[in-house]
Amino acid sequence: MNKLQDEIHWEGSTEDFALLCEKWLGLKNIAPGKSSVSIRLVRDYVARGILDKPIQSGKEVYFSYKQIVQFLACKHLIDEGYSLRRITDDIRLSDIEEIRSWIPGETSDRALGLINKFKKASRYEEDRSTEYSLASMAPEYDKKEILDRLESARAPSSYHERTKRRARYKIDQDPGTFNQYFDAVKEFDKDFSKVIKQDLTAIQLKSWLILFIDRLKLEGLTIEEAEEIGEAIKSALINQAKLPDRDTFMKKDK
Amino acid sequence: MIDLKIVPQKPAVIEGYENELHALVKINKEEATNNLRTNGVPLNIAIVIDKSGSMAGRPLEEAKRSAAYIIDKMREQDRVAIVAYDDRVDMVLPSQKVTDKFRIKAALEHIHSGGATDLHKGWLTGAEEVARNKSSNSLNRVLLLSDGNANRGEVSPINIQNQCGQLAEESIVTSTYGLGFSFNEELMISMARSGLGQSYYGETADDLLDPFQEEFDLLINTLAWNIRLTAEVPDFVKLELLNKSKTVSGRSNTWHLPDLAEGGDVWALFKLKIKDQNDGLQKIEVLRCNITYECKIDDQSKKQSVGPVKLIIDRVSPTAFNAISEDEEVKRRIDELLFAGLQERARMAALEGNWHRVNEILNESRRIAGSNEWLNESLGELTKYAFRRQTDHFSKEAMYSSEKMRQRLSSHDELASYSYSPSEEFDKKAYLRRKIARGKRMG
Repeated sequence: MNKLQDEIHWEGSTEDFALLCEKWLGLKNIAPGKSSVSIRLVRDYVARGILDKPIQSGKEVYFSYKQIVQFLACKHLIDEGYSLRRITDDIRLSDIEEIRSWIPGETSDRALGLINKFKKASRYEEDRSTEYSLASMAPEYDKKEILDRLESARAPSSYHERTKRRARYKIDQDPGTFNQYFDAVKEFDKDFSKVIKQDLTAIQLKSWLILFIDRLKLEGLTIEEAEEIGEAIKSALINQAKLPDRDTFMKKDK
Repeated sequence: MIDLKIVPQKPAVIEGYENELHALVKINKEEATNNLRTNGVPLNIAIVIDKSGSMAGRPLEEAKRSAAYIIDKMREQDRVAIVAYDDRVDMVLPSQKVTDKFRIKAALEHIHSGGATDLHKGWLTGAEEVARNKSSNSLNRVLLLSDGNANRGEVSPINIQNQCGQLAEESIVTSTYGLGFSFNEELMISMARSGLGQSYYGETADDLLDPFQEEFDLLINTLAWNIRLTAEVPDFVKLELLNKSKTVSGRSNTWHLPDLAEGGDVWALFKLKIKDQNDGLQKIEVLRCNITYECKIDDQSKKQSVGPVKLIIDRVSPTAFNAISEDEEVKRRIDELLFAGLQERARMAALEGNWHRVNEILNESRRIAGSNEWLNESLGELTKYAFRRQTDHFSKEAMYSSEKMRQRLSSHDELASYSYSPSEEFDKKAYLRRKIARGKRMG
């Protein structure tokens, strides 16, 4: 698969940028069949903060590799069902390699991400005590390249994780996937097995705690939303002493 | 391609009672399988060598010799990295294809002994080299050698073992090699256990090459890896896996099993507590197992699954039950795991300095060993250490031996008799040999 890093030295005008992004959307099969990339769309993304502002030189503006990555990641995440607001926030908070890892075929390896995380946890970042005594003997890398590669390892992105997990938790026809989901739910309460087999419009967690969820919404439930529901339940359970009993609560709700 | 069987201790339970039944899950290569091959799976290895001050002299030279052995055996499609560490990490050789063995082995000569032991950083650097070069088709291993304890950088055994476990989930496996009697066996074994690799030790530098041979033999003969066993039981059955295998993250009834290699059987022993339902049925299903695994088919690594395989047994009267004989292989595995458990208990007693208790446990072990010559011979080494009150020796031998008994591949011909002959074992592939002293070389 083509790698975006081939464009690392690219620079161009807004028109060129739109054309190049169009090409990469095709290569990556992102947003297939959607309308072409217009200059107006590019400007809109800059205004929203999804794309970094291009470099101004006289009357001209120049886009670069960074904005290509941001654009493709944004388009891919829209495909995945995330909101523009959410995408904007995440792009602003992430560095470019992390954003690149969200794009199909550009995954920065998860194992390397973990290793980087372990290094950070052990404060090896400041302590660059790895020496490359015989790097010159290694035909495939030179010393600078090795150091650059060390720099380039990034922790797995939250987005990448979420999208992967979301795909994994989707209840498709695949019984393996279903079992994985089912196992997780089963840990809460064995009686769930009966509930799960019915139409999932309400989930009873405890005698007084029922989640009412629109069936269609439930089908498209993201892992993030599920986690939010989990957080809400956790909060409710921890604070249960302060909660009204169910009848009072239901009356109040009406 | 891979055969999954469940063998019960007895194919029956007593009707109307609560029964305890052992069931052996066996995984091996199907007889008629031609497309499951060992050759050609590329290896992606980092050899991580402790060069701290205590390794000076013979130990470091033997460590280098063991690394050179691995390099000599590697093929052009394989990759190797060499990392040496004390309180600093020395990237002796970044990962590269093994196309110039002379040059790679020459790099080993640049390793010289130094200071303290930042074991974690050495391991992590090796893992990083492996991670950068792993592919979906490669077997990825970090081989970590140490004669000491982690005393620099990250030193928390729990953190280190968790990290090994997380990388194992990403197919980067960690095997550990302890040398001498000063290393932390609990750390080294837990790293390998979480890291889904092998754990070895050598009492002296001379004993070090043996485990490297064993690991390499295993790697080049691996038929299936990333084997995960899932078990399901009905409500009236309680299930316990006796091998202490690591569960798959988030799946309480799915376990990681050792890789399957040529000539060996992967096995797992379950203890089932079956509460008879008195429902009038003559046959009842008490266990259902599935496995998933990866193997190389047509030059591609592919995920495969087998199962479900069901264990259905008869409900019989007490008299009929007593008339049924126990399966010999299941009985042997039960004994081995009981024996492993006793070794672990003896170790704890030795660490407390309670040698009287150690001797009691060894006597109990002798009773379980019965006519099994291998188990009896294994006891000999431990008895010697107990007699001499050698706590470190005893602790290491007991722990490595019990770990191996729980996780070893059994060879097809073991069942033929209870006798044990070191020379016959020596003829087997290194990873199938039943050693009587884990820390000593064979032959």
